[in-house]
Amino acid sequence: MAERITLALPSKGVLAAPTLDFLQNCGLGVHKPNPRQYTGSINTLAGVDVLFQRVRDVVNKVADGSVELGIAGLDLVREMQREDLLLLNEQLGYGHCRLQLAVPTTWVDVQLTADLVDVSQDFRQFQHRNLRVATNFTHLTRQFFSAHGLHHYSLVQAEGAIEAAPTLGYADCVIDLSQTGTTLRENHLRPLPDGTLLESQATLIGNRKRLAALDHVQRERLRTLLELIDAALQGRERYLLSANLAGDDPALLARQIMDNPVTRGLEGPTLAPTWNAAGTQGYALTLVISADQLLPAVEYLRSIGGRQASARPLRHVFLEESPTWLRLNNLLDSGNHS
Amino acid sequence: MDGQALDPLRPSTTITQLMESFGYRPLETPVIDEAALFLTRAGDRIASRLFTFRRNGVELALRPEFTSQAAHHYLRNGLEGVQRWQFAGPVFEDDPDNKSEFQRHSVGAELFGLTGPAADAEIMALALTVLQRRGVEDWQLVVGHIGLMRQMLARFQLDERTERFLINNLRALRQHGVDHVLRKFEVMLAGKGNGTGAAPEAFGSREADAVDTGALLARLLDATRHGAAMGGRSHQDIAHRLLRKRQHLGEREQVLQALQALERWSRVRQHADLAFRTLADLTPRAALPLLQEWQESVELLACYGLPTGQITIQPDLARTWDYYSGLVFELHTPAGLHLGGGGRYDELLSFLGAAEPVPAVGFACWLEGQDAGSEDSHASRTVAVLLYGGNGRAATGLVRMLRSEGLNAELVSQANNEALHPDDDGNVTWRGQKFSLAEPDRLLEALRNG
Repeated sequence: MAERITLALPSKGVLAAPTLDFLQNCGLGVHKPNPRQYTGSINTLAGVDVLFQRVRDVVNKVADGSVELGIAGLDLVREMQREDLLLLNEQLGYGHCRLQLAVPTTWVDVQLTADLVDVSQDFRQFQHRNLRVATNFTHLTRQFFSAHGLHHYSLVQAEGAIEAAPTLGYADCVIDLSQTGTTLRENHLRPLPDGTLLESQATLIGNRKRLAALDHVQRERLRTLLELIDAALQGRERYLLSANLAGDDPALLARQIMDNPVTRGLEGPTLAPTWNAAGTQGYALTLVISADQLLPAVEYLRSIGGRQASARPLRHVFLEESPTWLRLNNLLDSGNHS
Repeated sequence: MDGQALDPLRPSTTITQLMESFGYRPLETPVIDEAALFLTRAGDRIASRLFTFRRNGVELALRPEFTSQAAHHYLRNGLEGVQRWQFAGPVFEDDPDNKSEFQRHSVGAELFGLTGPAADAEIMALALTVLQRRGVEDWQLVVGHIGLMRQMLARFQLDERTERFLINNLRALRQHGVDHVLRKFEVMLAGKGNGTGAAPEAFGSREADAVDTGALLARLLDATRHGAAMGGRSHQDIAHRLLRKRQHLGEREQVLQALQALERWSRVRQHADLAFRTLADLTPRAALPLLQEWQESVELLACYGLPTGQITIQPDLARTWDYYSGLVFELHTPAGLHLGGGGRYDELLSFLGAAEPVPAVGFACWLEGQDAGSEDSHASRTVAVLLYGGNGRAATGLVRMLRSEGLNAELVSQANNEALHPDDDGNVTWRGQKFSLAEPDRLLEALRNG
């Protein structure tokens, strides 16, 4: 019997529920037999186990090779970056947030991160201590400060409620995740305009060694999983647009449609002949377009005689090959050569 | 095999002996020490890369260097006068961009209580001689002088923070020019948000346009009334800094002139004979004696028989400025690989609490990976003694005797022609010849002659 592939998912926190919704939309609904259990399965894909873990442990388990795949925020993946941790897709399109440096709103003299360098020297000179920064992202924080020439600081780590640290008095400023900035504002903190360390969202990660060692059966299973995820991601941004076009020369119509990049679609339009009650010939157009082009496309079709345009959101769009699958194979190849 | 090859000294001992011949006695310092010691006047790089941990309420650190510990040792033991110490051992650095290399092997020396060109030259010469002994013949020495740079900046009467800012931004000055650093100064210290300085995208924001000291003070007052978070700064601290930023704005003209002077300095990057002539024209009269001392210390290196063609003068070379106060130098390969460096740090002991100033100069260099094999080729040969079955006593006695005669000896389990085969009757077979241990001289002579 071939070994199974394990996908680790966040068990709680802001990514937990959206991750299950996301997989559901991919056609990969997760079945969790018991809410208190840590394991589950994917009904539509045999041979794949699901393991629920705290999100930091998802990254840990993928990094150390206990599991093949995982979904976690880019923030933690970058923070915990390790050699065998592969980033397969860093844009799953949900769980958006940013890792942000924020100072008390009372620090009106601090406009930019460069100001903080000077303030850190004030702390040393006048208070004989370091600037204290509360964060759970120590690695990214040190990289960020190093790049900004800020060297004299102490990191304060805390379980949760990082943004309360300056009010409670055990830190001077924070580097923390923020979705809308509301929590920062409510804690009298102000993000610095050049203080964004990272724009984050949910990502798909894998373990290099485990993925490179998969047998043929497991690889096919993995490819199916990645295909379905990619198809849903591609579909999310696209509409299937239909319209009726008057005219009797399909080649001319096709050229008119192809002339405009907005209506070129994935690989050009499909035109099918139609006849209306009056016996006039026309063509029905079907086209896949990206969501942000919907209105410009409809406008253009009107201008060349299009009528009764309608659009449907797409759930799955399969490109020639799954981009994530291609990327995985490139990553594994480059790992072999280095 | 000649006597050299059987020299029982280990490779690292030759470096130790070399430094002892300069009068430097080995000093061992703890690998774990109080973090505060290293942070007293640690350079920026050391501060952010120190390996620290808490134990029983005390913040401890893995030593990143030997200098602070040596200075501490000098003070704690109430030493006086000239002290010369050498160091060798692991030092630790927590580099955020390189998480895999925590530990490096460092060799260094510190000279306390002696000032002047001869002392500076001695430390540079010692560092170079150590490198040469390790087979690094193509070293490049770059020499600068923080003390002279500070004297040169003195005529611009800048505030201490501004002066420090300029010295910390010498690299940016070299790479991006005067305007870039001036804008950075305006943004950072003077709170002027009009340019395209450190973070251009930030200046279009409403926040930056609001930079007006009066308006900011009003906002500050308003905020403190509502008891908002202060993050360890009182509203006086904040108001004080706002005012200081405003005062710095008035320093702009002096800063510009200082930057222009520094830029002329930074263009001097020449061999010693040329450089000091160029620098004489750029140095204010009051600082000329210091320039002459500097020149003398570099010229003295020729008296050590060192090739002066491998020496470059770079007046804006700034190492970790916090603790260096005079001559500074860096060592690297022609390809730019960093080998080490050092300099004078006359102020460190005062910062650590010395009542009287103690002049001090030192160096450290990294030796692992740097042509490490070159000394192994001189390494002594080791005699193998075969251990088998029941001859444990005979074999152990034999290696002990060989070692006491100054040979390196080790027990092996694989028989080969080069190994010594002791038997229980007090005889040893080597290369098919039998030797009696009752008269070991014949065996020893045979081994020494290879």
